[in-house]
Amino acid sequence: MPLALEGIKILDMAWLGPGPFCSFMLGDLGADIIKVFDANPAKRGGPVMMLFDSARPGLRNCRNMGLDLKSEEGKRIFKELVMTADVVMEGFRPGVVKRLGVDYDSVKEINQGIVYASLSGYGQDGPYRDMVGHDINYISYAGLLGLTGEAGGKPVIPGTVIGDFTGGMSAAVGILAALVSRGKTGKGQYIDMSMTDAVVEMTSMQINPYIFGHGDVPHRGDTMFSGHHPWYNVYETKDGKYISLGALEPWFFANLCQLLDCEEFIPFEFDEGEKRDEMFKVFREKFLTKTRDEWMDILKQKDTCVAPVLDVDELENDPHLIARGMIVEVDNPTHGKIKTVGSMHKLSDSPFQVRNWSTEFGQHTDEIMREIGYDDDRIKKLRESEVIG
Amino acid sequence: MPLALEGIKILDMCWIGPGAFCSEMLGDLGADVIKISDVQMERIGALPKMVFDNYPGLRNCRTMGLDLKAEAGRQVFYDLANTADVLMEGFRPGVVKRLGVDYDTIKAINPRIVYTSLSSYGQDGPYRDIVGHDVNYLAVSGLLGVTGPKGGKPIIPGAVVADWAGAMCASTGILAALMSRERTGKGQFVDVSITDAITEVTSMQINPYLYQRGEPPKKSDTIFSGHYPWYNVYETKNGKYISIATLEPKFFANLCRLLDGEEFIPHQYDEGEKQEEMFSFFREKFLTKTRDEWMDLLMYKDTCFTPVYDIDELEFDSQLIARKMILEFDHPAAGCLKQIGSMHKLSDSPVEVRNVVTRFGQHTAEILAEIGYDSNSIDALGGAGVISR
Repeated sequence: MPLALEGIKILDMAWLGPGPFCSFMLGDLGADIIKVFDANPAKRGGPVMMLFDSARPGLRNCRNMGLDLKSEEGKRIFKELVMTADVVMEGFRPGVVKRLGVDYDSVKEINQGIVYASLSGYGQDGPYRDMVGHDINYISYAGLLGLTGEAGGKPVIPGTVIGDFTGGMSAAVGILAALVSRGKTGKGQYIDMSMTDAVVEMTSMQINPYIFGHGDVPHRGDTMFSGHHPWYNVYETKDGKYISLGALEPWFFANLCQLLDCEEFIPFEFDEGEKRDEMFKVFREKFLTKTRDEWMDILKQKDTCVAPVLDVDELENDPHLIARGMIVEVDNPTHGKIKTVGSMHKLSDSPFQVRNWSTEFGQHTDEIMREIGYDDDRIKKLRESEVIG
Repeated sequence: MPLALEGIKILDMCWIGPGAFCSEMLGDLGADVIKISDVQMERIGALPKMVFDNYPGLRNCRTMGLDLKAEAGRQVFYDLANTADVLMEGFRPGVVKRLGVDYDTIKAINPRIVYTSLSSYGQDGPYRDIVGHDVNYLAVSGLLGVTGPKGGKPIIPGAVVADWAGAMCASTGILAALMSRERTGKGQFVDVSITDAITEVTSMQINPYLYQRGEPPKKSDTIFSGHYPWYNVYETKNGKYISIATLEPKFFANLCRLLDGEEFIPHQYDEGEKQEEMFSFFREKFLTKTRDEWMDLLMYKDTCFTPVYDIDELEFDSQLIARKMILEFDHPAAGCLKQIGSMHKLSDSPVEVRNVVTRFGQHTAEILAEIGYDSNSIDALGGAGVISR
C-alpha cells in the first residue's frame, strides 16, 4: 500500500514556527512537501540558512527550492507550481501574500481545488492580526502561561514551543479535513490558522469550567492536573532526579499507597487541608529515600501511574521510546548514521520512513522545475537572473 | 458547501483524554460523532460523568449507551461498525480483543474502517500495559524535565498538553487514513501513543542534543524558555505579568527604545555581565507600571509583547472574541452560556454549535433507527438492558 498522503503535493512557504511542524508531519505521512524559500536567503540573512547549517543533518521527507516571488517570472513559476499542487501553506504576516500576488484569491483562480492555509500568531482578522509575536506571547493570551508555574510563584515558560506545535497540528488537521472535503466537492478552501486560537482550545479544559459557571478561578500550580493534589505531582528522589505521579483513579491511588506503606491515606484521596498537607509531606519524604530508578522498579508495572522524569540526554536510552520508533537511527547523507526523533504517526499500512533528506538550500530546485516542464536552458537562465536559487 | 467532514461517521468509545479532544475537533469539522458509553452509569468513570453532571454537556456529537459485554450488544455494535467510517477506542491495550471489537474483527465486517486505538504508551513496546496520565507522558517525553525555573524542580504545564498532542496525532492520522482510503478503498489501523506524540512535540529540544551532543537543554535556559532577558516573563507594578519575545533584532531594538534602554541594542545575544545587567534592567523597568499601562505602550509597536492572562480575563479579550474563541451559545436548559470555540477556521466549513448533548444515551434510539432497527427491536433491546436511552 502506498503511503497515506502519497500524491498530495504541498507548497510550503511557512518556514518557521508552526509551518515546519505541520509540513513535517504531512511529509512523514507521505505528502510531497516542497519548501519554497526565497531565491537568495544567504544574501538576505535570516533563519532559513540555519536549517541547512552543516552541524545539522537537514530536513527529512521534503524537497526545497529557492524562488523570488517579487519578480514577475518568479510569480509566474509559482502559479505554474500551484496548477500542479494540492495545498499551499504560508506563514507571512497577514497581508503580505496579497502584496506578493500569491494570496488565496489569486491562487484559487488558477486552481480551484487548492487548499490554502495561512498560519499566523493571532489569525487573519481581529484587532491583534498585525501584531508580531512568538510562542511565549500566544501562550500568554491563551491563559496557559498564567497557569504554568508553582502555586504562588511566577509563571514558568514550558520547555518546548507549545504554541508552535499546537498551531502546526491544528493546520495539519484543517488541511486534511479540507482535502477530505475536496474529495466530495471538488473544491478547495481557505484555512485561517491562529496559534493563539489553537492554544486557547488546548487550554479549554481549564477555561470552560470557569466560564460556564464563573466559580473558582483555576490558579497556577493548583489545578487537578498541575499540582493541587499530592498524587498528581512531581517528587524529587534520593539521587536528585524526579518522578511523576498521576494516580487519579481511586484504585490506582490505593495501589500506590499500599506500595508506599501509607495505606492510611487510601480513604482521603480528595481531602483538602490538613490531611492533604500530611500526604504531601509523607510523599515528599518517602520519595527521597530511594533513587528514581529504584522507585521505578518498585512502582512501574504495578498500576500506579508513575513515570521517571527523563532528562533530554536520557531519552535515547529509554527502551520504550526505542521500541516505538520515537528514537530512530537512520542514515544521513552528510552525517552518516544519526539518531533522531521519529514520527508519532503509526498507520498500519502506511509506515513512517525517512525517504530523503534535504541537506542544502535549493537542493531540488532543478528537479522541481523540470517536473513542471522547464528545460535545462531555461532553468540555467532563471538561476543566473536569481529568479530561482 | 457542506461541512468539511460531513458524512463521516465516527464511533467514539473514548470519552476522556485525547479521544475526547480528537472527536471534539472532528465533530466541530462536521463529522457525525457517536459517543458510545456503557449502559450502566456506575460502570462509567467519574470523569465522563462530570461532563454532564458539572458542565453543560457536549457540543456537536451524539451519545448512545450500549452493553458491549452482552452478545446482543456486540451484534448492535457490529451493525453500527458496518455503517461507520472511523472507530476510536481508548481502552487499555488488549481490552477490545476481549470484548470482541478489535480491529481484525471489525475489519472483517467493514474493510473500509479506519480503526484508531488511543493509549498512554502505544499498543506495543515494554510500557504498553503501564497505566498513566498526562504528567507521566510529559515525564517520559523529556518535556517535564525541561520545564521549570532555573535549577528548580520540574513544573507541570497548566494544560493537559500531552493529551492534546495525542488528540492532534489521532485526528491527523485518522484524516490521513481517510485520504488514503479514497485511493485504495481500504481502511487501516492507527496506533496512537500519547507519549509518542508529546515526544515528537519536544523534538525541537531533543534533536539538537542528539545531533550535536554537548550540554543537554536545561529548564528555563533555552532560547525559548528564558535564557535571554528579551524572551521572558516579567512582573509588573500591579502584580500581574507580561511576556516579551523579541527574537528579531529589529523588534528587540523597538523594545529597547520604548523602554529607554537603547544601550542594550548592540548586546542582544551577549552572555555574562551584560546579560545580567539587561535582566535587572527589564525586571526593574516593568515593575514601574501596571500590566495594562504597558499594554497601552507596547502592544501595537512590533515588540512581541503580550499580557499574561489569568483564566478569568480571557473571555473579555477583544481578539479572542473576534476570533470566536469565546463562543456564546444557547443551552437548552441553562440559556445563554459561554464556552471555548474551535481553533479550526475553514472558509467554507465554519464551525458552529450544531447541537448540545446533555446526557448519556440521548440519541440511542435515533442512531439505531438510522441503521434499520424498528421500534419493536429497539424496545426489546432496551427491555433487555442492552442499550440505554
